[in-house]
Amino acid sequence: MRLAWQVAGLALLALAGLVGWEGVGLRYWTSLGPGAGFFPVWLAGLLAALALGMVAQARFGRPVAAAAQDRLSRAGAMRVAGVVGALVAVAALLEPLGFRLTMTGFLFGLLLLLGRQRLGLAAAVALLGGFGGHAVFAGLLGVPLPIGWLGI
Amino acid sequence: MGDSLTLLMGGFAAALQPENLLFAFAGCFLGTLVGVLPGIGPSATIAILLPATFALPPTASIIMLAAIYYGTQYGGTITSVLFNTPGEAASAITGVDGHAMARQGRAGAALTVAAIGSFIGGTVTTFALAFLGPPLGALALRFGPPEFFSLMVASLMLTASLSGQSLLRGMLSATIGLVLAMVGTDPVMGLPRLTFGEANLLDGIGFVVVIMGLFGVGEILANIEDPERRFAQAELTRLRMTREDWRRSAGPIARGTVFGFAIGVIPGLGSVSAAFMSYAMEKQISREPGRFGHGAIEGVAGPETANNAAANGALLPLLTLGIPGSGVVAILMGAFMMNGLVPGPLLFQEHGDVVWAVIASLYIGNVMLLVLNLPLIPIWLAVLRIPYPVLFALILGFTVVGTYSLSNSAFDLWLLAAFGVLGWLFRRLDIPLVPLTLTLILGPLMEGGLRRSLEMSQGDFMILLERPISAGCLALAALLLLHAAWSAWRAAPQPTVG
Repeated sequence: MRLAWQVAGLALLALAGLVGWEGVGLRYWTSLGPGAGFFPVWLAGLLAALALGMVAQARFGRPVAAAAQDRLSRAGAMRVAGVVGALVAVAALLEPLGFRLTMTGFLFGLLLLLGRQRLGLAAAVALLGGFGGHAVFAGLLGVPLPIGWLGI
Repeated sequence: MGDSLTLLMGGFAAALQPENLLFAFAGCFLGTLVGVLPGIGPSATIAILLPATFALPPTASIIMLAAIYYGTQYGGTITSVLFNTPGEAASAITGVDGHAMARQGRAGAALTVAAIGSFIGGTVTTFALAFLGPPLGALALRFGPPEFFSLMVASLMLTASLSGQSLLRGMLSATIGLVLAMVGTDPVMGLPRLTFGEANLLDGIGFVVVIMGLFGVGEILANIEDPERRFAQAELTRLRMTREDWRRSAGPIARGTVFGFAIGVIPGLGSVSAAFMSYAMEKQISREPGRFGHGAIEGVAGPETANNAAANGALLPLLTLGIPGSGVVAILMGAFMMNGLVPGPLLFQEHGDVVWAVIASLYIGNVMLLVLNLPLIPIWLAVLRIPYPVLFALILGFTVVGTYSLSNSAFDLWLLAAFGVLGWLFRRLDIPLVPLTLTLILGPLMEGGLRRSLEMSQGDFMILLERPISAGCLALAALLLLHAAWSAWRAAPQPTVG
């Protein structure tokens, strides 16, 4: 877990650098007071200091509490990646394919591959979510959901 | 006082007309139903259902919209407690302890205390709205930019109390929230800031997307990573509150009522800030702060009471000064104006009958919400018996719809995935989520307050110390920081949840 904390600390340090770089490109002070860059510059400094503190605590401090020391299993990582991948696929396909097809595919994939449900149940829930969901949200509630290239 | 009471009684007479009661019931029911859907919060719900009220008379129309507002808030609480997926922003904090209670098989008690706290907060503040309106309205007017900024600083220091015994982790979370709050267009100069050339970020990062990602998707990722951590579906043994639950909830409900109303009265803060600040306050004053995040009923009772009390408080500047205190109230203001009612000092004189009927209907709406929701709790709990693999897929589906509907943009779905991963990483690294969400709300208010203050004083920071309310808030902030640092220094490191 120490390694994870150090990696996270370094990632935050990089983020602080990015924010600071963007901040110094903006006006720090104007005739009226603080400019657009005032807060980003100070926040970048604070974030960098805290990130260094995080790295130092992980390197030299007391061990991080037990609850946070669980190792990420390979199977667990695969499941997390599966859900994130499914969300990314929805983000990429929702507008080109439309809500009905994308949501049906999304639910079917999650239920079959990650939920390990039977094919029939997965298909039924997916169709209900995709087509029934569209009827409720777009039809009844008036939520504008995207129609894809295929016109559905 | 006597005049107000007479007018309020007249309002009750109008609000208790059968057709108005029907519209109040319909509003509560529809609001709860739509509020249960993640991401579709009060603003969206009122906007979606606004056309349904066009054909109604002004009083019935406003009564129904106010009832929708309340219903949505309680609907949001249901998903927050059951799935840690907030239906709307003000109930996000409820999920921290409410969901922990649900994991312990105490979802029924969490939902009950939320309903009762909301009822008490709503009804007491309805009377406060009627009787304390004018003096509190005048006090709220004394909050200029310096007072606003200093109050925000004090609130940020309160977040230090949310970091458990690691000030470093809490401060990290709060700072990341502030950085995220800076993304978008600079409010004074109108320049893009921290957008890195992405046009979709010019309007900033939506709060609702962030909380649905951090709390909703993050929770699902944590559950699916470790099947043993999954929801305890077989443990719904305790539906009712115990005597101990009542004892622990009484104080937070009382404090949440007063505190929530006071926060709601200040334009710009609203229910979300009230709920988060109430949580911070309850944790700060608790003798057992370590219970928070692990199923402390106080962490549900306080924020749920405060967000309803603030919802009523936010109506005060609207009705007396014509200032909408929050986004939802701005939509309500639009509804007032569509019905030919212009909120402001003259509203009570010109349309007193409607205003007093609306105030009375707030009380009736709260009673109706309680009557409607307490018997429905077992039905909501039955949802938990759906197999988790089906449930998580459906929750993700609703979350996708809710996120997309915020701005009809697939870009928000990329943000949802990103914040879901961030929420999961925070859980793994034992970094609390609550400070991030609080600073994301308060960051823009704080920046705006400071910059406008310095414009007033032509760059002189002393303006913050020269005004008594501002100086008092800054002194409180200093004390809170010292207290948090002292607590962190004294305590051994322990895991935090949130």
